[in-house]
Amino acid sequence: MKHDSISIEDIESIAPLSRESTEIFLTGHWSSKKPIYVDKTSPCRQACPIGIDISRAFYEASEGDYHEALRIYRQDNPLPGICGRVCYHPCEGDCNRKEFDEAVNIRGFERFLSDRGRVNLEREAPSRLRREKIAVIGSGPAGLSASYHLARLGYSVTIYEALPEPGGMLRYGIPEYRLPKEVLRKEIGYIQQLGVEIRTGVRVGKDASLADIKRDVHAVFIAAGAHGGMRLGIAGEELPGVMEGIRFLRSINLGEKGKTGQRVAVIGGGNTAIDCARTARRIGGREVRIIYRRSKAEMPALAEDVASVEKEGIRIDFLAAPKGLILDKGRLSGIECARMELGSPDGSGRLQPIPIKGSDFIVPADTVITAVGQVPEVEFVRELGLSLSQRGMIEISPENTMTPVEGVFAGGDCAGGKAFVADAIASGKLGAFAISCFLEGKDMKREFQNHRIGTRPSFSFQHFMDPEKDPVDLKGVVPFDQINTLCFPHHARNNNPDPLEPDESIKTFKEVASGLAPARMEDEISRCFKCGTCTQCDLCFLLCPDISIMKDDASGYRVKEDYCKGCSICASTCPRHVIEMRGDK
Amino acid sequence: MKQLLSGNYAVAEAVHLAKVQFVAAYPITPQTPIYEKLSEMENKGELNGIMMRVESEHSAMAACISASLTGVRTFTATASQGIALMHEMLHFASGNRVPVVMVNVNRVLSVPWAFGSDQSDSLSQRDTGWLQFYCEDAQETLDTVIQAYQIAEQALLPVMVVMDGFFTSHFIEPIEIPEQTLIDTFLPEVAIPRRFDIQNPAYLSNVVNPSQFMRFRRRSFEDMEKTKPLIKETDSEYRRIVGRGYGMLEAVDTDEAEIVLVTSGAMTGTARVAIQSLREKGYRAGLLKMKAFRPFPTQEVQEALKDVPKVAVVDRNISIGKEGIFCQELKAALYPLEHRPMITGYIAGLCGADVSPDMLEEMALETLHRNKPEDLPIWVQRD
Repeated sequence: MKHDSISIEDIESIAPLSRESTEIFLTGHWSSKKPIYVDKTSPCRQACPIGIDISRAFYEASEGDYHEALRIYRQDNPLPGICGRVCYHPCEGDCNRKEFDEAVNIRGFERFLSDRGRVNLEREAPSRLRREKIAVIGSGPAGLSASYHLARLGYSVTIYEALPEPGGMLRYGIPEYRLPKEVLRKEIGYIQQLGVEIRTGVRVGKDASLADIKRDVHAVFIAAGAHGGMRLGIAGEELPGVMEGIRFLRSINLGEKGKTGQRVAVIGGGNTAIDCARTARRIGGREVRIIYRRSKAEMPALAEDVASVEKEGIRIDFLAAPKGLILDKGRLSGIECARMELGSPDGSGRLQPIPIKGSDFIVPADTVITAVGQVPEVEFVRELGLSLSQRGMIEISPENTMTPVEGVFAGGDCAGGKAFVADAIASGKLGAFAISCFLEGKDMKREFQNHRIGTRPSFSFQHFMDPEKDPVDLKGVVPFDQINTLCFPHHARNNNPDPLEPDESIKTFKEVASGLAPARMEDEISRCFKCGTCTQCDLCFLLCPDISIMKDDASGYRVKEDYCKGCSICASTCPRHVIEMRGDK
Repeated sequence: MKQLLSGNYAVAEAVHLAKVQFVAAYPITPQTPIYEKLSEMENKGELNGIMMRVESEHSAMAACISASLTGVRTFTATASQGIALMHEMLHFASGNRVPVVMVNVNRVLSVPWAFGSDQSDSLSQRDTGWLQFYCEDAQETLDTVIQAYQIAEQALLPVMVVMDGFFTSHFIEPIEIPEQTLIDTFLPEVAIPRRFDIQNPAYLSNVVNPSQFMRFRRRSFEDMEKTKPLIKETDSEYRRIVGRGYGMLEAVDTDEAEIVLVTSGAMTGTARVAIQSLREKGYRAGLLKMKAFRPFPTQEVQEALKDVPKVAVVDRNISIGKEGIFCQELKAALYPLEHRPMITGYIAGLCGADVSPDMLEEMALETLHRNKPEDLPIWVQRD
């Protein structure tokens, strides 16, 4: 049946159909809001004293390029193998993933990169050499970091090191089971290959005069560390059987066969105390204990290191302070201690310990190792007319590491910096930056603000050297609530394994923690949100309802502003807050 | 042979008989059993096509439009909030001239939330460019769905077949399911334009200028008008082959009537009883059943009521701010007459509220005894 009244010869005459392009209709012209892509700063990077672009390195690693990831780390940190083992990882403390399930194992990642990534020194070498010479006193983390960055800028650098091998506290303070010497040798080797000369066995002030050194160079960076142990201030400290922790560790690291008695008491609550106790356990201390005057919460040592102490059968006496040493027939037999209670907070914010009257007790010990703080041994700076603080520190301006003497800079432990490795490296990096600004006549404060990361005292060295190569909004730190967590499944963190049982690990100085296996590392890399770093995940491209986001090439996405209506779906769904809406009228 | 079937199952049988190739739908009370029955048929391999499970009515209609553009016979069913959500795509369907057939099972629109039969869901879609047929019972719905494919595919316009929620959709009646051979005689295999050609790509729903737009709209309007003879011819052809027909409207005893009740949908069955009773009491009462709502059978209505002095229109719907929608349309259709009947509008049975024969009798008598017309509708409710 075909009805007469309706005849449709040409369908296109009753319903429109187009074989043209719709592009002539610029449907986005009325909209004032458009998305823009700006890579931002991850909170881990802001928290890192060294300012490493962690999220970008994770992204490169997620693409399988571990070498590039390592290169990104080395833009700011020449010692990733060291930080990857011993850093106190404030990055993990600020990791956005912590709000979701657990922080990413960022330290384990850094270690993995340094163990497996290939260093391409050609890319780190300076594009041009400069005529200025710089002397660095001390080859610890601060001195090495300063030298590395200065060498990358093209300066000629000579390090003066008092001890027979370079590394400072990294070599002489940290035991082998936490930081193998081979890792140190490799990373210092790269710095030497960049042209840094290291003169070991030269104690400035004794073997060479600081004034003479200064005369031959354009700037000096003093990073002599803090190698002197602080005294307890109780009677009997000179007795045999009483040792300074830092000397004890140094002697072991120098290869001396250390010896303790059977019952070892370590006084202190920092990492040196922990290292002393674990070292004592490894060289024969049968009953090792730590005496600390506050409680566990106030310990400056890292929680995981405190936990390993306990695993290795070392007891910690909290809220106990030594009052005197007890002799039996001329030999040390114990420590008289007072029980403490915690009062109100002191200047550092920690609760002040107060002795409880009549609470004295005796801890039996034939060896006492004191690890209650370290002081610099930098009397030699006085020959330049520099004065030292009450605590024996070189006085500097903390924003730029300058001393009152022109051309002389100082950093690390000897200048009152925080006593962690990462902070010493950061201090050296700041020193290199300050020296460069000084030599180039740049306004240091303004330069620092330009390259500063977020609101913390770290900055991007890559950005300082070439802002074009680091096109990241360093001030825009991505908060957790800007992460689109719908894009991420919950997943447990992959920790670095301790393959040996504690009763086996205490028999040797072999490294206790292992690196993550590649499969587990890949898993951990996928856990990282890559906050602020575009991973080319294509979500914006796929979800744009107006097909206004184009994928051009490897350079990323392009917004067709003539068609984009500013709906903001791309910006609100971007998993890592790379896209923002801009352009309010 | 007759079978006991609910209206929903009768619809599924019609879809089966029409050899529909593509069904996309989303469940909603009181339409869900249609969806379930079709799903069951598909599962048993009895359906001539496939079902697409979508996440909303909007998508269901979008899928039917797209499928129809490729030249296949399509079906969907919905109700109430479902057709409201579908609204945007209803315009796309008519604008693209796709012969999609949809059953809407009348159910009240929220808020307040409720379930009973009420025509405001389908009547809200009056101006979307769809044909609308209101069916009195399950048998008529079955027959109308099959006829709808013939009309839709000839006119290239979408057709909505409407039945009352629960009264028709869920009540079980003896239904005559036509033989497949008869339906195959009546309804040829689908032969609608295939709008997509991979060798010659194009896109639809494109932007046009105002002058083009008016031409397309006018063409749709004119083609809708031209469906009136097509509807009648289709109905008589169906009556010839299958043995049942309904017309665009049905006038019962309207000649020389002093009062005519106008109804639509399931309420018409009740009205038939009321009219019978009034006639037994000596009143010259008639009944006008409105089946086609779009296109509106203006001439047919004029013809049926031109000599009637008083008309009572009973609406199971309300256009707030005016009156019942059938009443409005009827008034507009009768305005050109020289001797217009006096029309009184009644609102009754909203949300499936009971409308009994004696209520309808009272409405008819009240209208009959009225001397002047009432502007506003009269609400009739018995709790």
